[in-house]
Amino acid sequence: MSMNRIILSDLMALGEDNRRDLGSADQALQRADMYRDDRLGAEARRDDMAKRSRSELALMPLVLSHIFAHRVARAAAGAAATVFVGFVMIAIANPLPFRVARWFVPGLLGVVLAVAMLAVHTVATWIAEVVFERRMRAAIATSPDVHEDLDRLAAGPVDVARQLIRRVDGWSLAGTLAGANAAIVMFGFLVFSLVVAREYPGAWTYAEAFAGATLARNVVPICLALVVGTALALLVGLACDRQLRRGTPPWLGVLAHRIAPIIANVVLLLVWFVGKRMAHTAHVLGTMPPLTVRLALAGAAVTAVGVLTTWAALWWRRREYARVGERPMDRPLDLA
Amino acid sequence: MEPSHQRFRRLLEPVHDAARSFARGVSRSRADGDDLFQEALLRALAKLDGLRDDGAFRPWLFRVIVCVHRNRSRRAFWRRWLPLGGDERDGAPATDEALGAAQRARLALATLPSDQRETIVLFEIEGWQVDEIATLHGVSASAVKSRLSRGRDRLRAFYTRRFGATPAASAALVPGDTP
Repeated sequence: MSMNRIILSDLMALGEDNRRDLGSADQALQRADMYRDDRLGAEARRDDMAKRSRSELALMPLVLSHIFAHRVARAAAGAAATVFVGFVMIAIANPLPFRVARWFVPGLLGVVLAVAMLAVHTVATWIAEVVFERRMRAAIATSPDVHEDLDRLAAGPVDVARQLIRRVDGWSLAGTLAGANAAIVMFGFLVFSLVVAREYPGAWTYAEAFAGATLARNVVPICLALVVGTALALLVGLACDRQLRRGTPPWLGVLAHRIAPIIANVVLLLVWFVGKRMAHTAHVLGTMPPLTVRLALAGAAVTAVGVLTTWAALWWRRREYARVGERPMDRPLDLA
Repeated sequence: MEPSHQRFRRLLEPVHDAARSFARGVSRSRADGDDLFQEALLRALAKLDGLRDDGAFRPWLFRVIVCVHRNRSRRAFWRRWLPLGGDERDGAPATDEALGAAQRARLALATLPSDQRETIVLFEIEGWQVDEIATLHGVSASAVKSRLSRGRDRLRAFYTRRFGATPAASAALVPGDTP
């Protein structure tokens, strides 16, 4: 007899076993106490569940709240970095503000960006901790509506915490990737542009960096790279969010594969080599390479940086889920 | 107007056996299944006013059972991480040979994720159609087929690992005998 038939036969036997001694609907309803006011019983159950939930909350690992707060903070800091870089790009496209503020050098710009991200990260962490605390209080609170409490308390504080962590999963990934992509691409662009005009050592302190036409001329490819990078970051975030419900899409599995960062590093080295040669040629001859070449270089750089940061973010995400005892990314793709 | 408990009794009568059997099927033991069924009844009774169409009672009740079952499964999962009370699992049989067919199936089903277990029980044991299961779970028919396929794969893997590597070896399990 084949394995399938044995399993089917066992399932049939289980069905027969389940249908033995079913009792009547009346008996079931009597056990469910529907013929008398079940408020006292429900209240007792509610109180018992609340007590257990409070114990669960008291013993809940702090890592759950930390991961939630850090995810929210990363999403906020990444979004702030993207917006900041967007404003800088707008300013570069219209250099009048930087003509006024000559002291605004790239190094200082980097410091401002870092401080802004740190501030947003800190504030977002505070807010996330407050939200988490409120949700935990709500998860163990009782109200006059006993049955609503029973429904709510069915999911204990740990379940609620896991839901919170899963809910910000996609945003955290998207924000982190978009922010990292924006910062890396912008500063890569600045260094490239400044190297064209000046020598390496002075690049970060070159006070007239934003006044030159070189920067304004390259705004189109770099803005395109930023937009595409942000869109891809959102796509990865959306895929990670859907992964929890529908399974892992193949391309996300490829991005999370250990070979991905190696390929990305090779591409980055190539881009660095070609970019350096391009910068040298532009510096010596005084002419910029064609737009298509610059677009291809920006595209390769964005792809490599995107793959590298995505792999790192996905690795970190796996590590976080392992710390809270979940492995949702192991689910195969559900083709629904 | 008909009192809610009379309405509930009238609606429950025709679906009681199937619902209770389903609750037992997705649980680790008959006792757990009865407990699940009682809890689902309580929940359904409390929420009955929200049910507008009496004709939709059957899927509605099964959905309540599914919700209660998943809540219980989640809590059981976390009890492994946070030992707040005693071990509530049933005592395991002494040997695999002592297991009956129903116990083997129950043991194998317990290794499946909740959604696959519910789908397998509804389709293979309770005789539901794919479309009905899809409506109950709020997913597409292809998702139900996918869950069925994955669930069967897992069952096969479990049987092979636990009871024998080849069909010939597992033929000695005497299919169909009940405990």
